[in-house]
Amino acid sequence: MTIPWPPLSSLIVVPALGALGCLAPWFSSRIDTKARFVRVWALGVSILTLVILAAIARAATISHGAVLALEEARQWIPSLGITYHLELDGLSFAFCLLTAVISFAVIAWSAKPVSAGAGWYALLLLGESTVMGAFLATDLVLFYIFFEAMLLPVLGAMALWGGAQRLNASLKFLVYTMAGSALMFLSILYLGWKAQAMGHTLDGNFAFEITTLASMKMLNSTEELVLGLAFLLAFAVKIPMVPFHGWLPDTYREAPHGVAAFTAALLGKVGIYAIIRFMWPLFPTFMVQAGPYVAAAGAGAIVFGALVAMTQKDLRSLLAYSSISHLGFCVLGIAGVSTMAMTGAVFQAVSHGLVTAALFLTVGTIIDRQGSRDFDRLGGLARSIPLTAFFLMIFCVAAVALPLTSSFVGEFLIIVGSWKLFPTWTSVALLGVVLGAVYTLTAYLRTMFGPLHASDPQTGGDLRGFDVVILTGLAAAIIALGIFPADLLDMISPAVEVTAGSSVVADNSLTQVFTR
Amino acid sequence: MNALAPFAPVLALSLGSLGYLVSGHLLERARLTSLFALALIGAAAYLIVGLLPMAPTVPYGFIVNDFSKFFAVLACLGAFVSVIGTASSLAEEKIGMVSEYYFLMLTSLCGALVMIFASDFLTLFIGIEVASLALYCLCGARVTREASSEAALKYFLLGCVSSAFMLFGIALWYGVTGGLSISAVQASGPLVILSFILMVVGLAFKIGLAPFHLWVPDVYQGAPTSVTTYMSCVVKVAAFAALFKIALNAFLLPTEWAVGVLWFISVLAMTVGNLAALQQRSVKRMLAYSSVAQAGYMLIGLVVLGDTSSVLASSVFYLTGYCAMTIGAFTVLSVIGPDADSVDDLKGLVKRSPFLALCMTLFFLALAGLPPSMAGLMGKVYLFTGALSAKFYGLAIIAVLNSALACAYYFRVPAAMLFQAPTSTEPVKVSVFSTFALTFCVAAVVGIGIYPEPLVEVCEAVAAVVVR
Repeated sequence: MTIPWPPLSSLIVVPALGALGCLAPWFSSRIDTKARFVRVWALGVSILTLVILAAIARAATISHGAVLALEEARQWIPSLGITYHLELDGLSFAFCLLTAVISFAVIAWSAKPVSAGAGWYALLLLGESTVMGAFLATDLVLFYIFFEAMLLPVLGAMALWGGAQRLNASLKFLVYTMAGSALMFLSILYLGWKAQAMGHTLDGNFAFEITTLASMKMLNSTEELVLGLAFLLAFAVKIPMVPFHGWLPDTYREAPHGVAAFTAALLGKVGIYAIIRFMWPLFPTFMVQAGPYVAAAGAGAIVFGALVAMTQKDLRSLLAYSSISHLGFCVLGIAGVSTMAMTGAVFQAVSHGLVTAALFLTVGTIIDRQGSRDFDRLGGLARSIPLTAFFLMIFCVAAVALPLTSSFVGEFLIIVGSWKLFPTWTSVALLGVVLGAVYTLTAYLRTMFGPLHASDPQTGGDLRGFDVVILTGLAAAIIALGIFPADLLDMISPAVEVTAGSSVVADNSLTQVFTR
Repeated sequence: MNALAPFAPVLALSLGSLGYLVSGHLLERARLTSLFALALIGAAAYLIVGLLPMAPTVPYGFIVNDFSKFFAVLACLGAFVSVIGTASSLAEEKIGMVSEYYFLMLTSLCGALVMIFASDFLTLFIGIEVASLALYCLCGARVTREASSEAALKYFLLGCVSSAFMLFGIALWYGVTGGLSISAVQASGPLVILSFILMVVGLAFKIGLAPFHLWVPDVYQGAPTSVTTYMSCVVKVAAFAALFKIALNAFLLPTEWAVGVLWFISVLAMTVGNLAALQQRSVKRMLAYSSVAQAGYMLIGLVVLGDTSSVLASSVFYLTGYCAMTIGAFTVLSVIGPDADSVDDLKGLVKRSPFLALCMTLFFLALAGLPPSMAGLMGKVYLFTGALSAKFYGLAIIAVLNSALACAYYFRVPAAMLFQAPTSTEPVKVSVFSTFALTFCVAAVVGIGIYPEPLVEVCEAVAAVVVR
């Protein structure tokens, strides 16, 4: 369904304009840069984005029946065949909702770096805008533009307010991502030209829009292999898949808490989303052939991340490797040629986003209070910060994927969906679940229980105020999705089926266990 | 009078520049020096656009068609913006007689226009020489600094050698074809090949392509920043116009041997430029090496030359975007100070002048090919699609890997400006003129990328003129 007025663009434009508005204090001498004005403005903008998203989804579903499918298409550069084409269906809605919620949580979080003023909110809103764009774009060049643009606010925030090694970490992040996506850039251009060469385009120009390209079936097997590898490399660096994860530990360690939460929750998901949205329709044969390797990478990431996480000596690095481990599940899910596994992967991605963001924020409070993230300086904190301990328990339990949390639903769907196709890798993944419990709960024990390693600081108390509300909301979302996943699954599943195409085995039988 | 109409812009510029010699000190007393230069350049651009006949004509020695008009306007526009941007920094640079400075600059622009309009090799050579000789003197304009004189001497000596190469190539062409016009003649054979290679050597030197780029870092760094601003844009525009014209009209590219030579030069320029730039601590030298690499990208359009003219159009598009980026970047440097050269000088610029830091960040992002300054990204999309469409996969892969590599050094300057503490906290004053120039460049860099359609159509029309 195509609506004339631009509802989807507003999801991108509103946060971007909000970011510009945050910079207003520079131009007016009356408003202090660190005043509450900017914070309230940023909060308002992010709430507005959330409301717009909900309103659009509701309106579209009501008017069009149960399936959400909204498009916004506009001519942009006709002579190069680049269109401005956005689409909101169940798949992108799940991710857009995650983006809106996480952005709101991070913006509303009270603990921002000491020297951060209006620029903090501006960069976060800009990040929200670009990530939304990446999730909504269906024209490959437009997607690439947002894909590259999302780096910049994160890099900026990290380089301005990060830890001691922040410039090194930023450079690593940048070089890894640019190197990974260079070949994807070329592949996109090749696809656009090939469409023109095969004479399939309307006006004889290039074509970059995904539905046009996907319907053409114009690639021979060599082309599919090369282009598929190029795309896969770019997303492998983004998610990240082991062994392209080199940028992640440094970035997660050095970034300020809110930015680490934002990056962990959202940036990797763009890779997962893009594989389903772009790679499955464009390169179905390649994906089926590469399936075992991707599944191996996923299972390997789960075990590798868990094992390395166990050896880490500080909280942030542990979270980084645990993130790699959990994302391995999503990777396993998208390797599988089965709707259930892919739906599970999307659901797990959403769940992982919520859990990781919550973990980074909570852990951030602890680190700020103790002044250090090393386990040597933590321990026995449950007595002095019981509320933090409580929330950390909930999120650790969610990370371990206990039933009643959303991670359980996601991982269950992935495991059952992938079992038939990759029994070996799925068993390895199950091993990883056990390992995950080991390092997560050990970390919790070392932090919260046991003897007090460092003297209790006099300042910096427990979580309070709006932070408690945010964490309660995130916890409630995680548990609600764990108990009632039906709505989200119903939204994701048909979209995944439609997008991934006919090569995917549609076996939704077990998904129906979770639906009504 | 009608016969003189095509020569009007060049005549206006040259007569006007003579006015500087005659009444320079009067202008300086009236503080009108820069404005007079701007007025002349504006008049030249107006004459090009407005008074020249629409139909292509070939008056004696000149050719007036869409191709030459576009490049001439681009050169004038580049000169205009660079003069506006650097006008207020001339005093700090201790140039000496400012009127002589403008005389030389306008003469150089005249030479560039003659190069662009030339329809026979002798006129082309005259244009090259006029443009270059004036530029050699301009490079040495900062008479109190050794580096400036060294830059001028280096440029002069190497430039003379390259002009000799060019002249030899022209002589061979005359020997083979019996005439001097830049138009296709049925001729082939080793002498033609040799002639082409010699001319390419001469022009590649002017553009600053590897392996003829050794003068670029020293001259860009030693010359006064205002001269570098002018030089990095106008000379490239004129030399590329000449190269395209010669290659396509006289030598009827694509031919296998020519494509091979140009392919090699393009790849060498990209790689050498990027690798050398990685090691630079001086911003001017970094930009100089990066301009070598960018020239390598721009040459792709000539190397590839597919079935349609749109591949050459992509080179023209990229060149336009590049002019905006490079003029902007050097203008920022000239505003900060005459000696602002190393990355340390730019540290923490965001606290001293947020406007300058923002502009410079956008220019460097454009050079790297990243949003939001989309001119670079769109230019690369256009160029690489063209390369792929003509099946030059190797060239495309090398180019895209070089772009990714280049990000490593393109980020060094914005990172220093935005994230590091400044060495001095006094704010940088940006004059009205410079603000206007920088805003114009920023608008161009962002606008060309977001709404490239009009420029793309113009470039396609321009390329269609020369590509048969």
